[in-house]
Amino acid sequence: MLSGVRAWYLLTLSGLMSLLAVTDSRAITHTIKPGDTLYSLSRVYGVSVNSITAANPGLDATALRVGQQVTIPDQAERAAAPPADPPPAPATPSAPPVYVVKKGDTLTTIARQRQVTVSDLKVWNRLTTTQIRVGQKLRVAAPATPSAPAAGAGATGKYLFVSKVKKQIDAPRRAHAWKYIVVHHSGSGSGNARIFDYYHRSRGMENGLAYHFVIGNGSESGDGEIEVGGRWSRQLPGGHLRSDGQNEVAIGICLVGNFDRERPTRKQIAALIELVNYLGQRATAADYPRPRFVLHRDINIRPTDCPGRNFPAAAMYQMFGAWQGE
Amino acid sequence: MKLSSIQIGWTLTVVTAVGFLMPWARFAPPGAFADQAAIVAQLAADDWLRDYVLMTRRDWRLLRQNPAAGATGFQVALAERGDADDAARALAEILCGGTGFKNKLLALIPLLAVGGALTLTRRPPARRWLAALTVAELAVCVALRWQLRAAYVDRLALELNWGWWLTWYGLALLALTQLARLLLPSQVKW
Repeated sequence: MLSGVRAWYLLTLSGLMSLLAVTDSRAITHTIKPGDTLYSLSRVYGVSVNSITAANPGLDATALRVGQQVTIPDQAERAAAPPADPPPAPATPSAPPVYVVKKGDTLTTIARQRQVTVSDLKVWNRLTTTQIRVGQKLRVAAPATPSAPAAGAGATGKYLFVSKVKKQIDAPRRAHAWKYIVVHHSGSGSGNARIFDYYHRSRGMENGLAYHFVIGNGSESGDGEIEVGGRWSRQLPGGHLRSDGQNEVAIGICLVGNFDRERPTRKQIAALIELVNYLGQRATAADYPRPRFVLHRDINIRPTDCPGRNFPAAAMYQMFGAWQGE
Repeated sequence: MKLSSIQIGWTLTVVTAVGFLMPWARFAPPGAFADQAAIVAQLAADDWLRDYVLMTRRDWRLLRQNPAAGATGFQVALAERGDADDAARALAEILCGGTGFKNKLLALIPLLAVGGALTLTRRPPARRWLAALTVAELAVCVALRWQLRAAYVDRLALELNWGWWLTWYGLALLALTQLARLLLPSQVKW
């Protein structure tokens, strides 16, 4: 109990200190939302975790509170940061793609240094656990694509859900610079790509299925089964958002189900995590920026509840980076 | 020393009630979502024993870290909508699908346990009451784990603490004790 009280005072003190801290006019002040972490902020704003903690003396990275104000240093500040606290080396093409593990390294620290995810490191190095040993050589960048980079050389690694449709995902030969991955729910208890395709055609969409991918819930297709739509195969814009401009650059993934009433199944969420990661790695391998993960309701120009109140939004944004709008 | 069902029942009732007043959950530090390959593997696996009965290695490991921190079961039951930074509210939404009336039902857990122990104490036990309470306790235990299982990724944002596990295992073992008493012939003394 005593440690709880002590932690509360420390938290309050650190909150007051961060509020009282003089902020640079060039810096941005971010208000912590549910699911925010220093790592997710570092990815969203393109700054290192070290520079955020340096800009917020007293900030306890393990005890961020919703509503807490965090100062995000700007580009100029980062460039002028003292050499004692340099930002971690980004995984640029100039950085060596292989890293030799040193004493005290963990996959998490290496991932942070190279601004990649632990998942990426595991996939690139075919690791099944997070165990690494001193002297081990790790690949810390996406494998290079030998010939046509945008043709879907894809990422290597073992996938539980993506592997069944990997060929279909990698089939398109034409490159398309997708900026977003937008998640929807179907709003119906059952369905699959063929049924939605029929429905969308009957509504006058000549390219049929408005989404690029559909993830089944076990009703009309397998639980967690990924179906690849014709718009992905032909790299056509989606029809899943109100704005045509957004449809041009947004991959649409629809999870079958009405998540206002029920929760997505565990396998649907697992398949979604894999698919988003795979599409991200595929884009990186083709020298495109990683598409940003966003929910339909957060990007659509008209109000919508999609993908439903039971979709684990905070957790997914914590995984793929918080959406701050464009 | 042979313990009677009454002694076991009251001990488990105390464990359940004390657990209800101890920390149940706290927010996880950054990094809970870092190992996405492991999250996918957990989500894809169908292991009912781990999901409905046992604790995961992560759960066990977390018990040794900061055991005094977090919202108590009592706070979870009383959590109100709108306290966005409240671990109690976050857990209430996972367990009960929302706050308000639904999560207040969690306060029935210690009452169920006390009711079960009282019914065990009576000689001979009132079999109908004992059966009804046993079914209710088992149903609560299964429903709580079912909700945790269904909201696995939401749950990763939280760390479950001693209070939660003491309450859950206390109630589950109490229900099993009552079931054993119920299945024994009434003339058997235990």
